[in-house]
Amino acid sequence: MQLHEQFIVDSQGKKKSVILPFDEYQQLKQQLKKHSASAKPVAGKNRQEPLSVFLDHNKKRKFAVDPTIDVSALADQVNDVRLS
Amino acid sequence: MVYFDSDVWINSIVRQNETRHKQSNRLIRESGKQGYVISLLNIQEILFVLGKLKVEPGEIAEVLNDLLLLEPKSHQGKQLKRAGILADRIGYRHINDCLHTAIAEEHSNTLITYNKKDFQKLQAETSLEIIIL
Repeated sequence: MQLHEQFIVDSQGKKKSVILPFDEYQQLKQQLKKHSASAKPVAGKNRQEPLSVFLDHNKKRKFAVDPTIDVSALADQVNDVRLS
Repeated sequence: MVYFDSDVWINSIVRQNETRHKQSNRLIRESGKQGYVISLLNIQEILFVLGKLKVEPGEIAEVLNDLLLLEPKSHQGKQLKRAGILADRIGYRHINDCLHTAIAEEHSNTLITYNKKDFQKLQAETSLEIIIL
């Protein structure tokens, strides 16, 4: 579905609101309703168990991590791939 | 369903920042009730970080085994195409974050991350609820 949206921006040019043609708005609402109706159920018991195992292992893991390395910064860097 | 960015998973595995370690484990545990999503992209990034941290190969293998049991979602051309659209809108940077967002859009309604700098830009471009910790 192609949207012909228009934006209302603040004095800094930051997008604040969206204006959509009414028929596109109606289609969007229908799609959201459809998507909501087909939403998958919550994690079943078979997915809870491996999650519990993972979390239990996390309590026991004792990685000798170099204290000079900022783990969170490293985690951010992995996302920081630039194409240009 | 909740999709966690890789930094949440990494902080849950690695105990360095105690506050984040406890918070991420709590959030992941709580997500078991409402449904969680992990992707192969998450796992790839987690392994990359553990390698950078010089964690023993055997220990990384154990983490990988645990994560593969969580039924990770793969991405396909559809998500890459969507990631490309998002990347185009934010200036063709942070393509992995765009791909995380596209995968999360497909499988969940909430994305949780510690990465304020990059996901703040994406908040305006997606109907996902992006929670920045």
